[in-house]
Amino acid sequence: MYTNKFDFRDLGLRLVFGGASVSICFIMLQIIPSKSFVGIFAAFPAVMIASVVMAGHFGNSEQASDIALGASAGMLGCTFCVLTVNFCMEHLESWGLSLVVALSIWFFSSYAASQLIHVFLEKIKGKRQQK
Amino acid sequence: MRFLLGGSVVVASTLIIKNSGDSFGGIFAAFPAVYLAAIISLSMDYKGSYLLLVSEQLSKGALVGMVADICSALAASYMILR
Repeated sequence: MYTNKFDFRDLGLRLVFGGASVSICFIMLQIIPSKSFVGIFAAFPAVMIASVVMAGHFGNSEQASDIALGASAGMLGCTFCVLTVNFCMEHLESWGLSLVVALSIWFFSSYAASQLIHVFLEKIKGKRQQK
Repeated sequence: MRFLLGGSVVVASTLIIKNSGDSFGGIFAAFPAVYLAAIISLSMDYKGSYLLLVSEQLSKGALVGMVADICSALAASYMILR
């Protein structure tokens, strides 16, 4: 059963995924002239992949599927976060302030999206029970 | 250095997930850790207006990546149960 207890294999896998993604992103930034293309690597879903792999390995497929669905709501928040970074850096012209504003937008939009997904899942479960 | 930065941001977000309630933990499951670590690592090499320009360019690519992430998460959620 997949639990919330600390597991060093789990943390190690996340460290490798996260570290490798940032390192690859940096190497690509040096090699590829188009910085926009390199940005695709910066959006690598390291946290989600590690969560889904660990849930599938130590839990069951349903848990892994639920985590992936929940993460899609969070990624909607990430999309708003990146849009805010773009907008703020262009208009505020302050790197640090843009990141702070973008993180606030990420938090509230992720919360709203996760609540919507929650309502959506409850409706699906209700329909299944009726059948 | 960058490997440790990226890895530790992801591990830190995991620790927040495990110490939070269900709703906040769920939000942090999709924390843009790699994106933030990549943007922060840019500040090690670039300064001033050039840092803003490179960050903006990286963010444009990340936007495409984020949309792909949503599609892959939805596809994974559907395909895992098939």
